[in-house]
Amino acid sequence: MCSDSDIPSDSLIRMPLRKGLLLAVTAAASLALVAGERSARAQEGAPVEYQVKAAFLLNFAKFVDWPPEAFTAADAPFAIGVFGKDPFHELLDNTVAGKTIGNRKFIVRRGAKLEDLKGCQILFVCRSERDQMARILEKTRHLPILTVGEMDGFAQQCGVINFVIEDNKVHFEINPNAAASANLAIKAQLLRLAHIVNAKCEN
Amino acid sequence: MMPTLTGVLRSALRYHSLAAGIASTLLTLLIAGDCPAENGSAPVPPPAQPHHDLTSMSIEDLMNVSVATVTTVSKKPEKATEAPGTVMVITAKDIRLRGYSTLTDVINDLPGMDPIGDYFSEIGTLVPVRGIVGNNLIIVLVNGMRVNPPGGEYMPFRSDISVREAEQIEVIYGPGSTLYGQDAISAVINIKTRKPSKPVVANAGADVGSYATRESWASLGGASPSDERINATGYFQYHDSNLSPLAQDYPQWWNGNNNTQSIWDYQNNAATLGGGSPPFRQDFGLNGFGRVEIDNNSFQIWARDSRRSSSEGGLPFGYLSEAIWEDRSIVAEGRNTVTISPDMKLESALTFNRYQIDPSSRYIWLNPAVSTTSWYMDDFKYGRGDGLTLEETLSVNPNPRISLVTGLVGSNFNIIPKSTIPGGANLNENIAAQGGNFYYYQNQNKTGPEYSIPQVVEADYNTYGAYAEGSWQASHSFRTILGLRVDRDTRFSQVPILPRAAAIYDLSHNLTAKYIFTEAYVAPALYFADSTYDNGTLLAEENKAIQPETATNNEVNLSYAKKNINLGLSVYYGQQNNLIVVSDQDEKVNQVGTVYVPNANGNGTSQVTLVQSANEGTSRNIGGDLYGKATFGSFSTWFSYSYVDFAATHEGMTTNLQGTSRHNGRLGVTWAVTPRFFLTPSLVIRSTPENVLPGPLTPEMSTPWQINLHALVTVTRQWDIFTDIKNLTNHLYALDGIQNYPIPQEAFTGVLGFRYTLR
Repeated sequence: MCSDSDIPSDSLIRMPLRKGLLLAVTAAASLALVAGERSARAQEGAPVEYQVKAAFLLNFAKFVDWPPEAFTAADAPFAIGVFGKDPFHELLDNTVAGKTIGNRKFIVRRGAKLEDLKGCQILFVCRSERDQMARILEKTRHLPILTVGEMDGFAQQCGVINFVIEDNKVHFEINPNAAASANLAIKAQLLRLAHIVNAKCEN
Repeated sequence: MMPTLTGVLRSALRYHSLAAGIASTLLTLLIAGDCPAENGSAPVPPPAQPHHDLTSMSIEDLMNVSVATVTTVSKKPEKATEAPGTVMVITAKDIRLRGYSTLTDVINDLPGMDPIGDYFSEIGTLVPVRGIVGNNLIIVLVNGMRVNPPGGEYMPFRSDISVREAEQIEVIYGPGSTLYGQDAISAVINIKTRKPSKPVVANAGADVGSYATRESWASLGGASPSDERINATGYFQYHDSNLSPLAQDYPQWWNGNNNTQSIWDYQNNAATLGGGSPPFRQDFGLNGFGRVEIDNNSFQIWARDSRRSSSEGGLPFGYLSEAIWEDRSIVAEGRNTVTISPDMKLESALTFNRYQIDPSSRYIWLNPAVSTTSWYMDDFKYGRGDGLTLEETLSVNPNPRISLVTGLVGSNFNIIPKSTIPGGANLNENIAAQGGNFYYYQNQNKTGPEYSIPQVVEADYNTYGAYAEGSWQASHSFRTILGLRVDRDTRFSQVPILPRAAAIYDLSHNLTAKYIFTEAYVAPALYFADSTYDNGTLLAEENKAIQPETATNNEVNLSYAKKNINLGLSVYYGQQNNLIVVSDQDEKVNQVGTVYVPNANGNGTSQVTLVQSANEGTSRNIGGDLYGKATFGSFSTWFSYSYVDFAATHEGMTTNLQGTSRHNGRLGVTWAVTPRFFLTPSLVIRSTPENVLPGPLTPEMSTPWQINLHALVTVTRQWDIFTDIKNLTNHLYALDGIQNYPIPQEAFTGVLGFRYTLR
């Protein structure tokens, strides 16, 4: 039978040995591997959902045609606006960094007021703005802005594209009537992949 | 038996040689695969580049990227393939298409798990994981809230833990004590409930089937239409059945292989002593849950109640209607999250957990030491555990490469372990006083002092813990994790120090390699350490000097994820030290001496062995799990193969697998016959359980397998009709029972049901 005093002395001997070896092995592993590479991966632990959504936003730019009046100049950047409590943090900026469409660079703009984001070609409406969704979509309905949301009813209320999660994958709805109302032309390749929401968006 | 210093050093060096060997091998592989292109002049991607280059993917490919994350492994969101552990994720879709109703159904399909149904009524299904036996070694969480009985008793897996409303179930294999504290040895299972995103979400269903099976469930939830930060949800599930007729299905077992002299001859016992033919077996389970979230605050409550026949498990029990085991749990948690800055948040959680054995619970059994002419009817049981825990968790992400989770935990426990209270406990009076005492003498003729042992023990104690775990994204492809926890339990002197270290390396966009080292401990539950009883041959007393059992695990995991295929391979080596040998194992280390207890009739004494639970021996498990999921057209499949070898050394004797199987495999497929009709057949097969005593069930022990089938028809968007069949071919099989006796398992059962969903 073990006595009270025996066991701690045993464990005191064993513990430092184990931890010391363990830490040494792990530290050696870290150093060896760090020596081979120098770059960093971003947003450690951030949900991959917004990495994917950021890539979708980038892709949407390729499959939608904006009217010329959507841009202030021939070389004006392509602006993605984020309205509300930003779930992307740096992910969206990192996704579009260095990317171009035609001769336009991508930029990301954020604003506390909707007016701050006038002139954006894509407007991502964050979940935090759910109670303002109708007002936002009313204000943007006839502007050449691709509104993108991630809320139930967004496309039904004449948002152009709405992200939905299905089977742990990011899919999307498109309301073609909302696109037409905004004078945007969505290419067939994109429409083919979307859930089509045919809610009317009349004047 | 104390190991010598040299023995300890030898053991430590041997153990570390293996760990270092595995680590070195892995490192060699990793470094070999880490050669940068063009002599180390690979272009440096811009800082904060997403790990996989999603920007080069087509929209079709993006639509196939799984965005599932797990939060259980590190207490923060991360991809399952990149978490420091072997992780299985069961989604709501899996649950619906495979027809899972309870957590036991899920466990039945998990690799490396060897569930033994009908094991023992107070345990329900025994769940050995990777060869390690003990339901007290598995942590079950509901939305991160620990629902195990407080004080470390067995986690009961019966029909009272519903998974129908789960959004996702995360199963982490191996020790998890660094973040979860005591008893996280075999696995941590987190059931995450659905969070409503619409104003009203409702769901109801019912099924009926063979052996009077009735199950019904309903859920209701909603999110505030004006403020998504406010939502509430709740569910209940009711299950009742009579289970399958064992006397009819397993006649050789029922009649004790025609040996009428055997105490295992249930048929003869029932005939001569009355009752119990055919075996009366009922199984009732109730599970309820409610959760309210208001902004950064949440409150949730989870409760379960289970009542089933207490005649399971293989002992010569009487299958009488009075033989009932009932227990219940209620767990409530309030949680507040404060975002201190965009990179720092503090979570505070206060949790109350009560587990109680209903005082009507009792075993009815034939025990030659007590009675050979009648059933022993007075073995009433009672137990109760209350736990109150406050945990503060601080999460910090100082920069994109580094994250840190730290926590402080304090708990108070008040525990009455399972005790015998003749006549049944009266909850309005002092429980300890009702139990009285066991008395014994050192001498046969009652000369010398009379000693007493309280029949009911009550203990109040505290535990404290502090932990920190950091993750460092050292390079584009390599991440390392280091964590440490220190616990203090006022019951014992040893202070467990619990590290976790992991190295995670992305060999390619699709393939990730991990090495994980973990250490965990089992706090000696009062149920094992302080339980007192007199079973006619053993008289058990408390052992206040008992210490925790420790476990280490080294694991290498390879995870491959690509569009429609997920594959994983884990190889592990674990070691368990300072094992807690429970008193009723009656090993030499348990035996205090021979004593004499007064006979019930007042005349003379009977010789018994005075025993107590104690620490002694080591064990190790080594094995591998190969598992995967894949989708091809209208077929989705899951599969696994697991191998384990286990050895325990007690008092110089080595024993191998403890009634479990060396090999087990699963294969299941969901076939979308039409967009509205889904068929899901599945197979569970294992090798013959080892080290089980032979008996009338020997043929049924050979390579046990079962085929199950779930068929689902989505009639409309609101209505589903389904049928669920367990053991489709009525294959009769037996698995290990308590005391290593084989026991029959459920034969064919089938239900037909419907589900209505308000969308």
